[in-house]
Amino acid sequence: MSTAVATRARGQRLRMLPATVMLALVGVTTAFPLLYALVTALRTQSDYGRGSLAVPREITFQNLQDAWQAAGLGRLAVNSLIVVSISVAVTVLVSSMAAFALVHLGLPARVGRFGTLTALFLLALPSTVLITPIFKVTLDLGLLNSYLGLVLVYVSLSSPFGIYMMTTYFRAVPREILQAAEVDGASAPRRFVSIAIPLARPAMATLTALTALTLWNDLLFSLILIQDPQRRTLTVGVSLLESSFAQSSSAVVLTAGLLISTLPPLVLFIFMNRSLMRGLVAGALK
Amino acid sequence: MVSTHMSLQRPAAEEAAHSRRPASRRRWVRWAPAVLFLAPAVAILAVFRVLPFVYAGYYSLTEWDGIEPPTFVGVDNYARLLSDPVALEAIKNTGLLVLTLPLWIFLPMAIAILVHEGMWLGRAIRLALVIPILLSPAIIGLYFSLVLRLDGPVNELLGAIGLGGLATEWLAEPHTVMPAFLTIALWGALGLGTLFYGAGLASLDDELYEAAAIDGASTLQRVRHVTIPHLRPVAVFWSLFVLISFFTAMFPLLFTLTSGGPGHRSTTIDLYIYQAAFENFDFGYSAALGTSVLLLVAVLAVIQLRLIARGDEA
Repeated sequence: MSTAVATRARGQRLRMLPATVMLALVGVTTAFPLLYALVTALRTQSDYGRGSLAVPREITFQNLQDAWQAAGLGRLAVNSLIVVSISVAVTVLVSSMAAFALVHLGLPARVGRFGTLTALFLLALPSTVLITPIFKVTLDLGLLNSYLGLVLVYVSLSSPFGIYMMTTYFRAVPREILQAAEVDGASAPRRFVSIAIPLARPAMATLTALTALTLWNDLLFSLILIQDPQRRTLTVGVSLLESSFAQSSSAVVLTAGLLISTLPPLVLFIFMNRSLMRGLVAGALK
Repeated sequence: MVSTHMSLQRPAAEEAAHSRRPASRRRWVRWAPAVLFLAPAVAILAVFRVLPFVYAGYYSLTEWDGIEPPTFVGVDNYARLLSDPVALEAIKNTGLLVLTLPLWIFLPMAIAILVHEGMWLGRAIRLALVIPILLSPAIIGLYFSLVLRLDGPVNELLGAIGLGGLATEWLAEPHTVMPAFLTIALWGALGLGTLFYGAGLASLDDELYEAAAIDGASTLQRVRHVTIPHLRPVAVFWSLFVLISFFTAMFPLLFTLTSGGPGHRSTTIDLYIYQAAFENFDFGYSAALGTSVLLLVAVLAVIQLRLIARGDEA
């Protein structure tokens, strides 16, 4: 019986072979950028001149060093790390607090529903087409070119999803646990910190991973809100490398910049794989 | 809906009028923690997400270069949109993107089903497809601008297999730039779509499969009558998500890939919104473009919202 099933499964796999080969080829192209970036970033410009697909003859760290120092990407990487980590922390905190309030702080059910719907509504309406008004609001507040402005805009972009996700999560937390704590005299912040947060840790990890990835990869808002070249974030710096550093815009240095900017997402992927994948699916599902 | 709301409100209001102060104070005390917990999110969202809607409406009716105070020009910007050749080209290019929608819907669906059916290398392929969604579209654009250079690996590979005659400056040729962009955009989204359908397949009941097997259904019959119908709601969600992204999320890829060129050959509507404001310093016009897209996309967004709200109740 089991061999029959196995035979049938193998037959089925054989019939899928053409598709398998085609998809494996596509898979090679999607995995290729990382390998290509690694190899190209570590070869000399003249070695690249022999052919971009040729196996490199010598390895150099000069390109990475040029990209990091001469092209100034090192500073921008630090900028990005600061802005993204603060934005993620604030997003997770502010969204969890709001979601907790909507579900577990005694608001009438219809207020809670209205809050969740508003978050969903903001989530569904894209703000990338509103760059002019967002730019103007930031300008009017005197927050242009400041990290505070960028952080606030980032939080405003990611917290609607955060609120929505955290409310669905908090709804699954039994009301009785929190009511018991309230009867025992635990204040709202106390219930939030010692009951809700520990229970919501997986959801917070998912939100952290997704937000970190999205914000690290943002080009648009960082580009329009931070115009001082020294304060730019890494994605913007790398994107402008070709035009702003004409001298060093050789393919190998550009690729080194590209490689540097992909490291944090890779680290995130390796260490928070499950949370990130769950977040990506939920993020698309909304 | 409004009337039931009112009639529910009225007795409560009368009750409150009798002993206004104590009741409202008690309610305030009861709700104070909730209000305080909501305040930071509400403040940030009100200023940076809700206020821009109001601003968009106003600034789309002005001429503003970003420096001088804006001047009110009525609906001029909207009228201009209809006769601006660049805007029309951008709309055409976004339209081309919309025409590729079936590929965006069915390719990831097919991949997810093949992986689910136990295709050889299925997991490895799915893992490889996920890589582009970790990267910023801007980085993907930069990567392809390097890879598609005249001396880049793609042309080199064509030369190596004897098709050197096809080698070209892919992103600078008017007739190759859109096909290249459309392919790269789809390529970058395959992994997300596959993950998405994969999540849908994870909830597929094994019993249905066993029942189909007992009924003697072939693999194709089973996929057609069990798997695909099961994925229909996921496909609806996914296509709305993709459609909205066509109008709103192509900017970062194009910014580094082609900057919309050659000429405006690969300019899409959301790239043009950026260019109008931050390259031509025509902020009022950009706001009008943005508001128009928003109104269009809002229809899709509301459909999406209703589906989610319904999903939540279930």
